[in-house]
Amino acid sequence: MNDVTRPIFLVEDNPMDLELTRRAFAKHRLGNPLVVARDGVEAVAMLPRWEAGEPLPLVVLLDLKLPRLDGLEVLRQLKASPVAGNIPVVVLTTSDEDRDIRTAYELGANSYIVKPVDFDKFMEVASQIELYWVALNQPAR
Amino acid sequence: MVVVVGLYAGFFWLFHPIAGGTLGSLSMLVAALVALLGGRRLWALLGGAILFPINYWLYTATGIPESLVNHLAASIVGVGLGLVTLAAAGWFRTIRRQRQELIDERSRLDAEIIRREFVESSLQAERDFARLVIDSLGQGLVLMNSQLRFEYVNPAYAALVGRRPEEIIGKTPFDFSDPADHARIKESLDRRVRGEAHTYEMRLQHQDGHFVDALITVTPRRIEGDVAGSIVVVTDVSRQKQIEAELRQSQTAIERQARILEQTQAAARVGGWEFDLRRGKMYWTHEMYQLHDVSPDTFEVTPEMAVSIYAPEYQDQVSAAVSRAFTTGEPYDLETVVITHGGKRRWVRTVGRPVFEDGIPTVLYGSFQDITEQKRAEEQIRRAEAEYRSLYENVPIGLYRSTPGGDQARINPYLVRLNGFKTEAEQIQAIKDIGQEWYVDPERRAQFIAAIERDGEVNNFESEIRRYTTGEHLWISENARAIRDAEGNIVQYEGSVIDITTRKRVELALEDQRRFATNVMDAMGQGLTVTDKAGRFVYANPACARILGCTLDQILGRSPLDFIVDADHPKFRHSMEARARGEPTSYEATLRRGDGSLVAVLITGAQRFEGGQPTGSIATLTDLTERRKHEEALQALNSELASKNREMETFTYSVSHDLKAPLRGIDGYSRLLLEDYGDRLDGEGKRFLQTIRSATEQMNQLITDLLAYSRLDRRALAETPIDLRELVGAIVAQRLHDVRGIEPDVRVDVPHLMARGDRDGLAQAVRNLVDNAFKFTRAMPAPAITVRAERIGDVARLSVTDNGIGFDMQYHEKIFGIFTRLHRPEDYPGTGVGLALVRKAMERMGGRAWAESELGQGATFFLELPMLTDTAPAETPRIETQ
Repeated sequence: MNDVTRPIFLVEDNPMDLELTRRAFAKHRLGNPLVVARDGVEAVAMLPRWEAGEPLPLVVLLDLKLPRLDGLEVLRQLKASPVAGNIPVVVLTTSDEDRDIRTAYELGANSYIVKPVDFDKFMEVASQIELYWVALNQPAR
Repeated sequence: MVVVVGLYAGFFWLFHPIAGGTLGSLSMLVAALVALLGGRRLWALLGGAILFPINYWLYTATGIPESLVNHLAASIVGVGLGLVTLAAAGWFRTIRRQRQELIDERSRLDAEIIRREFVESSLQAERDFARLVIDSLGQGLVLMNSQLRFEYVNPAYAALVGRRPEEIIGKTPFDFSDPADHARIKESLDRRVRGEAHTYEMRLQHQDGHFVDALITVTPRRIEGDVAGSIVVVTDVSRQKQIEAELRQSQTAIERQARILEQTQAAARVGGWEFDLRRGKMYWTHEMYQLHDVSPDTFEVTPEMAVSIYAPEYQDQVSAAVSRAFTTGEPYDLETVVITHGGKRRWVRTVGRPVFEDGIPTVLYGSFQDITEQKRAEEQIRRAEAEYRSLYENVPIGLYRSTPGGDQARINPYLVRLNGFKTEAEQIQAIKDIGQEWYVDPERRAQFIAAIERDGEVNNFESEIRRYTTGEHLWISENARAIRDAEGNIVQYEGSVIDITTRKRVELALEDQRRFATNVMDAMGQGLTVTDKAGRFVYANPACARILGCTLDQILGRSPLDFIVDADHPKFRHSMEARARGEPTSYEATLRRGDGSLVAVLITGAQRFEGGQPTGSIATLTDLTERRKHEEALQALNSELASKNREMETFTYSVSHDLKAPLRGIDGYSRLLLEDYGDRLDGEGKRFLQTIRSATEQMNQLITDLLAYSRLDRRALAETPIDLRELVGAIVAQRLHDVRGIEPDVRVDVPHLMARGDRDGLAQAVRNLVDNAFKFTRAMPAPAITVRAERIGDVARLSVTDNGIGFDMQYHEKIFGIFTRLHRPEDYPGTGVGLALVRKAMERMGGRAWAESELGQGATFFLELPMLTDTAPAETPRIETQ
């Protein structure tokens, strides 16, 4: 089920959040590598590499508030890409604004999760994402 | 007679027992011959021819023997009897002829006597009549009216008193008589009023002062039986006495004088008659025959005609009058109807006067006047008078006569009613001074009099009057003219009054409306113009002149196109076309003002109608200069506000991310510290980390509430129908699910009320109230919360009641403010945003929020928002929810 060779692609600028997320996934001992982009430009820079044959990620975890290129724009480009268009994108952000939620779904986000401030809840959310998007929601082989 | 005797003799022989034979037959023949000699030849022949054969047959058939003696005796007797008979017949005839001659002679003599007497008396009468008619021309003849004033006098009378007839008309007999005779005149006037014909003597006073002895003969004039003045013949007595002296020689002459005097009183169409009692004869004058449609030559007058010529219904009356005249000597004067010989009915006046000799009535003289024409004229007058009276009483116009002094002489019923009275007398009694009591403006009467004295009349004189009985004011219009006496002084005013109150009120109301409209048009800030059919300005108000920078004179008569700039001419034309279709139009245009500057205006106009016909336009001009300025300022403000809003949005967006991210770090690393390094921390250290984490949580909650509060302002509200029961039920169930510790007793008493508002906003408010109720009852031994809803008119009211700690009402407003708390956070945690959010949410939805409480007595929080109009479902049975 879980192709452990395929990475999880995390787009996150905040080092604390990045650390916490990394910790959360590590806690569940997932074998998948974690590829990180620290801003929007870095994120979209992955597209030509995927087209060139680099293994596609199982899921993209995308923050919205990113330096240089906005997360929603990144989402748009991902979904427009012929190779990356089918990769599930989970928006993981602090914003619970209606506007952001709506726009994200309109652009093709597969899920929208507000980051809890409480670390315990954050851990719970991370494990839910893992369980669903990495372990369960994979195409049958 | 001869025949009778002859036949008798024949029959005698026929049946006599001893008679018979041929001699019998012979005797028959003799008798027949005697009859023949007597002159009755036909009878004799018939008798002989028939009787002889019969007789012969009898005697030959029976065979009785003949006796010569008998035959002879019979023959002798027969001849004798025949002769005697003959002689007697001749004698009787002679006697009868002689008697007839005597009778005829006597009759002829009688007729001769009558004719001679009649001719004699007629000749005499006609001679006297002719003379006295001439005399009468010198007599005064006077007609007096029912007020006993002179109506007509003839020149002779005028001459008697030495004045012109017109000076006498309207005066009374007292004015021209010896004061010593006034009592006698008074008596005569009384008799005239009673309708008695009479004669008396008095002395007239001539203008130059001398007196004239006069004989006054009065005959009443009657109209329909009522006395209507009199006819008076005034005779200079000196002449009268002279005539009397001449006539006194003969008694009959005096009597005839009286008769003629009476006759002269009537006009020439008078017939005369005389009934001579001594002779039992009736005499008629020529006119009498004419009156009866007969000729004197062929018509015989009889005494019975004294009564029989009258119509049957009048005969008793005439008969009684005639009898009375004979018994008491009283003359009579009647108006009756006669039926002429031809059967025509004629009205006549018949006057009779008896003459007595030694106390015995001898003659009845009379006159007979055809008054049919007079009657007809009277009837016409009466009818005309009735018509006039009906008009006077029924015409819806007031008619009056008044004096210059202000007295009211006559008022017709309409005017009486107009003034509120019931009768003419009542009004005359009540209103003494027309000027003061009738006209509202007392000067009006003086103006009326001035006008009528200047012009002799006034027309359409409009005044306000007071209805006397009610005090109500009415408007009237008067037409009047002056009536002057012979000297030209005004004695009366005669006038008509029309009630014009309604018209006047309409006029005044119209005037008010016109003035109001003019004032409005002058005062209004907008320009107002009216154009005629040719599109030229016929009216412009001052505001229009101000907008156009012209005087009104520069506007009137010109066309709107003279002011509208060329570029806007098409707009004007389109507008005119639309107005012609009956559509009101509104467009903006630029106008060139008087000084050449331009002004932007809004022109609103519509078709104008006059008498139902489209006639030009009416339009208003609104100066848009100020409005444009305001619009620009408003636009600037709006864009500024929009940019501020955007800034604010960016700001809050950043806050939500950038404040929360570090918090998550603090919490996360505190947790990691506890997990990874917990074994190196003592209890105190671990507690510090817990405090850091709870402070972080509190900060997180604060940011969340703040964002929710600010979002309420920024978010567009979606108004939808909300079922309160459903909404409250869901929130309460959720909260009960989340509750930890003692579960409070929650009652939900909310029907299916449909309110109108923003679902999320209302849910937020209700949630906050329910949370508060849970929070503040937590310390209670038996926490109880009740949520109710009810409809009050157009609004739905929702309340949350708890039995918690409550609050002092002096902090009522404070608790709805943001960041306001009444309790320490360690007692009742909270951010101080919850109720502020409730109030803001409700106000944003057009509702309100408030609370009622007392410290320690629990609290009730109320929400109110509009009902969904007309679609609220009927209240369903309440369901208790625990």
